[in-house]
Amino acid sequence: MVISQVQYSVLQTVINQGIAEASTALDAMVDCEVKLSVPNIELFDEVESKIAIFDHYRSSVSMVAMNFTGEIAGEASLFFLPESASVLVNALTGHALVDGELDALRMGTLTEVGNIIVNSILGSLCRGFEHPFTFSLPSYLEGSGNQIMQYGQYENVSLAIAHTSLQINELQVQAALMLFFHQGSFSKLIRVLEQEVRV
Amino acid sequence: MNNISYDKVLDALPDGTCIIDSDYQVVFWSKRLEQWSGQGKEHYIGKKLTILFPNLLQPSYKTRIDQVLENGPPAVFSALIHHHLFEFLCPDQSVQAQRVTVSHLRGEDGRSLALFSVQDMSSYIRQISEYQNLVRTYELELKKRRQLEEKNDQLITAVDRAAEAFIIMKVSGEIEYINKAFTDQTGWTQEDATKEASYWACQTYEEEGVAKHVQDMLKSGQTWQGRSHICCQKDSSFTASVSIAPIFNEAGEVTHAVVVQEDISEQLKFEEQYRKTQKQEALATLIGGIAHDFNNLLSGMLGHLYLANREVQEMPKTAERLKKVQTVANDIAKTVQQLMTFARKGQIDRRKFPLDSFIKEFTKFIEYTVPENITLSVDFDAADFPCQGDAELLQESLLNMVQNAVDAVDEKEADSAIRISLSLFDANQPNKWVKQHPILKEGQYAQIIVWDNGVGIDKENIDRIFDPFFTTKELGSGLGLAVAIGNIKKNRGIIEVESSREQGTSFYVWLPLLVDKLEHQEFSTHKRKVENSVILVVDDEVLVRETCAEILTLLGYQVRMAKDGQDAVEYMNQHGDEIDLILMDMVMPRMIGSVAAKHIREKYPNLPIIFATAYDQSISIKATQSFEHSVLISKPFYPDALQETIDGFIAESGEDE
Repeated sequence: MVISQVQYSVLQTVINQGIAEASTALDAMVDCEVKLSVPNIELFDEVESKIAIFDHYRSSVSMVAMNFTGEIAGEASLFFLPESASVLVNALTGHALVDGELDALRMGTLTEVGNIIVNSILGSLCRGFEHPFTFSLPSYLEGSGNQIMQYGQYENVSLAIAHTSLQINELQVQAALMLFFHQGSFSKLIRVLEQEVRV
Repeated sequence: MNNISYDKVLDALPDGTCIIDSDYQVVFWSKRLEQWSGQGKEHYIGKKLTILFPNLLQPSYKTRIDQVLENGPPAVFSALIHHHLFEFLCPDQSVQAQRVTVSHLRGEDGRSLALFSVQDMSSYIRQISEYQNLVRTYELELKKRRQLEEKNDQLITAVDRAAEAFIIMKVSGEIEYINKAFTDQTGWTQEDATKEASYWACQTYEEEGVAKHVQDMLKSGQTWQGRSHICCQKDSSFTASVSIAPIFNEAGEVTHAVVVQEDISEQLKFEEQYRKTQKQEALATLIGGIAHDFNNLLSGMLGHLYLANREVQEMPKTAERLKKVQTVANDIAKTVQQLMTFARKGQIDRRKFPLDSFIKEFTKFIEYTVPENITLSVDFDAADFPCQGDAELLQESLLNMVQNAVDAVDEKEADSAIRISLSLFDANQPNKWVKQHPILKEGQYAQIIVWDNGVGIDKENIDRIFDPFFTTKELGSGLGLAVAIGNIKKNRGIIEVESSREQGTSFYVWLPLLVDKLEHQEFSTHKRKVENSVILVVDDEVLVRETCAEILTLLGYQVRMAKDGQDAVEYMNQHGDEIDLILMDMVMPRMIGSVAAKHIREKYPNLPIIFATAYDQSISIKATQSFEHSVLISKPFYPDALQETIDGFIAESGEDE
């Protein structure tokens, strides 16, 4: 998947806006200071998508995913490594939970954090479209990259990965936002974003 | 399905649901929410949710709900972060914990709605609380356990590194654990000890029946403490202070024992050393006392002999007999003097001298003493040995040791040898003598060794060789080595002996060395005889006082007498101007010599005083050394020597005038 430097900059700016909104929302929600770093974005075409997920997440991961349909369609997912997920939950809630302990509460917290970040990014991405979108409820998944690939519909998709990190007080939590676009959606998104920037 | 309204579907869900419009007005309130809130839906429908639940006005809620109402993605509010959005009370009066999902709905009229799906999470939160309590309890227990383990580790380390040996064994004696000290003491490793050794087999007791007694005590649950001989792996043994305590099992039976074992060989050596020192001190005190009485008696006896000798000059036979008696009395006086030396009483002439030159001169001197059939060798370190002490006393000591060596090698048929060595003692090298005499580490010491390859000293005798009158020789006086130890100690030195049949005998002498090198010193005396001088003789012993007065009169002096210090002071107050010199006993009733002298010197500061003592010279030296124009002499005094001392003083005072 090849885009121009200008297009890359536009995409990065829009995602940055979403990240900034998410950061503000998280900051207001919890007692501790939350900062989200400016993401580094990688793009993959459909052939490379599987490899990208495997490369990044061979071990078990926690994922919050939301589907969107409308003028463009796809899935926005936030990935955490297990240790990052635990650190995040513990930092935000003050409860020292580790994997396997009271998963419903842990999952609920991660889902909310993922929901806030994904919502902000999707809000930022979809702002330029005329017609409203439909969104699924956020779903929480845990498993290896391979298991996640089996769960989702990732055939014929383009993938944009935005690597970011949440800094909560002194703690650093690594996360990756994965945007899967169904066929044709990514190029349409780029066009709309370019128009929006020109306007 | 078409016949069922959505209201009924939502009412049937386990989660509570409510729907609001874009103005936050409640348009639907499910039965589950009625149940949780305790209020009917009429209480909520048509009212603003933000008025019913003002906390929802907070930006962290309202912003996200607004986004949903604007056709945005669903918003999730988790229980751990928010606890609840709607304040409902649980049956236990706690506030219900909730997970709330807000999704966008579009009404039939096209308006935007928000659907709140509320999940009761109270049981999860309760579980968390219980879980956290459990974790806290567990962590506390874990902490206690770790502290116990740390203490245990410390104990194990302490036991393992202890200087005393620790053994854990079965009652039968089968060893299960030994620490490093046990291995160091006995040579047994943990493996050897547990495989081969029975603790009971590796120790013996001085008295019969003790072993059985110890084992019986242990079996009956009692602790035993005492001394035993511990056998080492390589056929050696040592004496240990041992404590054997029982270890009980849960049933209260003695199954094991813990043994704490301390090697007390060194302690025993020190005890022996201490005992020897105590014995010598006691002997010295006893002998010092006897010598004092003898000296007073001898003073009278020698004085009268001197006088009688003068009186019977016309009777040659009697004069001859008196001379013989005088010779015997002189011999007695010498013996008493030797005893005084052992008791470290008597005067010491402490001067600086180079020890190396002294030893060279000494070896030349003894060449005539050591028979030609004995090889005499001398071994010197090339160094300076500045020393301070009484060289004559040292010479006497070394001579006695050499004489002892000559006697020892005389019993051999051939290859007899004596060696005298002088070296600087290195206290930094591992050395048993330093352990025995830690003072050797302070300052620098010269080491003199007098060695012979003679027959050696028997073990049963070696501890007694420095005792006065102890001798194994038919004609020995038993005073030679007693005098030697006394003289060496007077010179602030240390003496030790080591002997075996194979290695011969070595006498070790350590003498403290001066820090600075010596400068050449010259000593000179001026004497001039003065006659008709008046001398005040002060002594509480009538025999001594009168004999002394008689001798001095014969020698040409005028004599006055006082019976003690008080009497002397009173006499001097009345007739002090006529007195040229005082001969003052030290130990007297009413007023001792030094105190009397102090009073007299107030009026006559330059009057010569000769202090005389029959006893403890060291104390008297201290008491008299502050007096100028005075000297301390020992009793018995010989008339000629006394005259020489008196004349010296009177001449000196004459010069001063």
